[in-house]
Amino acid sequence: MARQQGLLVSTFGANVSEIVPGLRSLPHDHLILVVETTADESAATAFLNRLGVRYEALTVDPQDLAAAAMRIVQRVQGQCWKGWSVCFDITGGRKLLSDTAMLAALAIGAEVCCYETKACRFPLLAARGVEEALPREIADALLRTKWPFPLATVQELDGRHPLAILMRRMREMDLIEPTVAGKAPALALTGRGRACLDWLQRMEGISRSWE
Amino acid sequence: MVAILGTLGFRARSLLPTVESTPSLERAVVFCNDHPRALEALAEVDSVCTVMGIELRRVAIPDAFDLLQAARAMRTEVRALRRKGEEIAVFNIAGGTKMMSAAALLICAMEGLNSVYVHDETYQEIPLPLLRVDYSNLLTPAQKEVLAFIWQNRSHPMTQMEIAKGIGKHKATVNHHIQVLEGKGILHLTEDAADRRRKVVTVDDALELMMELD
Repeated sequence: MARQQGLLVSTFGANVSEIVPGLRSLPHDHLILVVETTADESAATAFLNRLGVRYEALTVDPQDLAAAAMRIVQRVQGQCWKGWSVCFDITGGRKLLSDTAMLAALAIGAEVCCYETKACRFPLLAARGVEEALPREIADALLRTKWPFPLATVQELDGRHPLAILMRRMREMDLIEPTVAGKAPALALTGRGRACLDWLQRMEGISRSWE
Repeated sequence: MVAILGTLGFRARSLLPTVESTPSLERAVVFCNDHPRALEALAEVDSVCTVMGIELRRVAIPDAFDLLQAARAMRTEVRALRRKGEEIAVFNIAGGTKMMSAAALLICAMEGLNSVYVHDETYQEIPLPLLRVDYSNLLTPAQKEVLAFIWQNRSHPMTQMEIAKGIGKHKATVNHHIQVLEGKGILHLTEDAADRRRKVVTVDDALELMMELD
């Protein structure tokens, strides 16, 4: 049986020492250094070149946290589909960069490690991330519905109608909430709902650009 | 009762937008360490909460660089609030050390909480696309049984044969479960430090949190 290949995704700020514990203890065949647009990764690249580590730098702007996380997901997903194991080391860089990597790891269900005071590894269960937690039919409904959605339309339906069931499930997942649009009661997206819709729309854009 | 949770570092402004934007807020629970500047920020949050009639409670995180410790404290607090029937509107993850913030993100995904980040410059709240991911229910009862046994005996890592003997199951069955669990990254097969010919099964401390083994 072929050995499973490993991808290590490490956040990097300024010090090489931030990535060394992960490099030494997490088996990997390829390394992705996640760096901020403003960062100078020359110290790390010189060090990695000397070691002969196969790596690439992925530049993100963590000020747009979701977009930066998505950029990482987009880069890593190809390897996931090929059956590579993916591990995130969030020790390096500033907080926002670590949060970005954590969000990406949660989105694809990859293992997360940090070496701030002591080694700490979190198995997040591969392929169980946000996309799996959001069922396809809910994702479709989020994407295709024009929000806010008139409450009267749902109230007119039988409780077992697919749309009524879908709206109930979205309410249970805290994706939508009752509101008043104009003068009529309606169902609007919550903060989580808006964030998930934003994520789906951006992912849809990425998928299309691959086609 | 409506409550919010938040990690707090040196800047009260990373938390205050959530205090101000949450409708009917009655309680704010803040996770912060004992650093004098963190306590200063806490005092600032407290003064705003007092004016707004919001009860402020601090949960001390003794080591703000210990991700696991912070995550445990946060999960305990979330569950205690839920037991009391309180509604947790949102978890603001913007403040504190990066390990506190990462721990908060993890707990939001595990407990299905709404989470927001506050932009460093504009101080605008940014909701994050997180949904509940129940890691503990992603394993079969047999896998859980094997894992629970390994967890209980983690101080003396055992071989697959010893584990099979310990739980009274056939070696092939246990080996299969261990292979699957290793493939999922939940446990590791490592060389025994005392005898390199022996391969023992090890687990990480975080497993307790992720798989609800505590």
